[in-house]
Amino acid sequence: MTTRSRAWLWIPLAAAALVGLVFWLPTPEDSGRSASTPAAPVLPSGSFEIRDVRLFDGERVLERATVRVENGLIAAVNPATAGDALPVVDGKGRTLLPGLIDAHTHSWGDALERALAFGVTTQLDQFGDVAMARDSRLETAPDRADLFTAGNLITRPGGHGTQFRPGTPALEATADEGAVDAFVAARIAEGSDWIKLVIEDGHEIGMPKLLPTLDAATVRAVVDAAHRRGKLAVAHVHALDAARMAVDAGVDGLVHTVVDALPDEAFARRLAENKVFVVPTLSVLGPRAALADDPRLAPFLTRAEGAQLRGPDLLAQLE
Amino acid sequence: VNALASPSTNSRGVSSARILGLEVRNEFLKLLRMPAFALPALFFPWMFYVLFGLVLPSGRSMGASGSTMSAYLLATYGVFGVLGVSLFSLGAGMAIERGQGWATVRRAMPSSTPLHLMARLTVASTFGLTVVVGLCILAATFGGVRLPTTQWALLLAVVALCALPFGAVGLALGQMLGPNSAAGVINAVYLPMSFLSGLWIPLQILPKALQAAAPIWPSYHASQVALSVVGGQAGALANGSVWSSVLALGLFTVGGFLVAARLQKRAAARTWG
Repeated sequence: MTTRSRAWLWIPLAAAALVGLVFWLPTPEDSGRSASTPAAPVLPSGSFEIRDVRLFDGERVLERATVRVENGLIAAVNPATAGDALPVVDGKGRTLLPGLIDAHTHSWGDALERALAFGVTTQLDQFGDVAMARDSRLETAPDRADLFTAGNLITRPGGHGTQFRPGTPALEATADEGAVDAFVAARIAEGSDWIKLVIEDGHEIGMPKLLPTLDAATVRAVVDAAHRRGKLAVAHVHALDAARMAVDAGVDGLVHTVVDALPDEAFARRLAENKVFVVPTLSVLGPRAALADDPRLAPFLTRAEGAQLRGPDLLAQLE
Repeated sequence: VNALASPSTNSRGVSSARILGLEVRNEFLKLLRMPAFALPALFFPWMFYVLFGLVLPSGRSMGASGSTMSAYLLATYGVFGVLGVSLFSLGAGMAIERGQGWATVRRAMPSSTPLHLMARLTVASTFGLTVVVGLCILAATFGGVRLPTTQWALLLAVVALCALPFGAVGLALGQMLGPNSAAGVINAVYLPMSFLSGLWIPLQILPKALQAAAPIWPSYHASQVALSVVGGQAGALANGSVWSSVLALGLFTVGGFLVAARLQKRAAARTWG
């Protein structure tokens, strides 16, 4: 009987240890809380008043204003009655402006929490995790930015983008118009908020072996498939000829500027006429180390972020 | 063995639960006393995971893809762990013990084949669970893997339950193979099978033809279920539907047991008339 009871004792012990382990294992919320750098200070409640602040509302500047926030929403600017019950933030010597939108990110880890330190309240991810974007919008958390994403790219097997993540779905070169349409539909079903195409063979940076990339007919088919479903189509381009191909196909935006040639005025006019926006991403294509050393920015950067800015630039990462 | 054969258990009408408890206990004792099996069964998945799931991705330029790899391989090495113990315990182990005459001795014991199989499945499941618990700790501590608590729990449950289909397949193989060849043949099947069903490296890296052939392997279906539990970017790498994979695992379970029962019956008829 003694061996029997001792043996049975192991079962509840092991079960308890297992349950303990499951609750010990970290959840996504944990990584938010234990971020390596302090997040922007969060007010204890969503209701407060910022007083005597220089205010830019997106159109005008008010030199001295009071903004009352109730339950996370702006309730009044320069309210007639004083809100004595609310916590007060002294805005003297500071400027208040609407949250910024970063139009080209690749958001992962604590990017959404860190964005707030730079005044960014919305990130537009141009190739990333659809689940992260979906989760970020399930609840409005005051301590992180909102995230919208292109999700997975429209690129060829082995094309640009696939090097970052093994197993990325890619559009086969043999795909006909129907297959292209189905591929785009699958990305939207997955959670892509818009469609991003990659027109990039690397010739403009002298890659020894050119990358497989989309041809003009496919680009057109992708753009049409996205537009049929009411989604924007944007293009990753670094080369002027790729940019022309994208604009000819009717894309809504270019999410890099071109680096191999100076676009002529006629091209700029075409962009303007077709209302094609350009996200130049100069902060990654330009002299990035200068950003890391800028005294206005440096105090807000973590050591890892500084090191990344001083590291190899985006074009080097293409290879 | 002493406990099983002792007269006190023999003379009384002993409950099945007690016999099962003893069978489980003795299976564990056997594994502990033969560390040649138990140690590699635990350490190989852990070692592989450290090398391919933690060390390798940490050298990549983008952190996001690194933790995706860590999450993907957490699911698949968990499956790999339970696959190995199940195939060896119910396949090679049974065949070897048959060769040593244990199957004959067992006929004189107060236990039954179903109870013995349940004990072996329980032990395989517990070993699988131990493997995946270790993997979870590694993944959480060094791989930056973060999952909601329910998903952690589900992953453990999926891996533990995978002992059933894998055990059934192992049992069928064990009945087909001879005592001397079983371990070798099962090794020769299970290592390539793990690779071909994407347990070691993501399936999407393999040639298209092999990807298309992956659904023939039970381990492929187990990995699809485990990956969908992990979800996120790693889950997006699962390409089949979860429920069809669950169904496939059910069919492997039933099929494995049926084949094994048939073979066993035939062998018994030959031996005992």
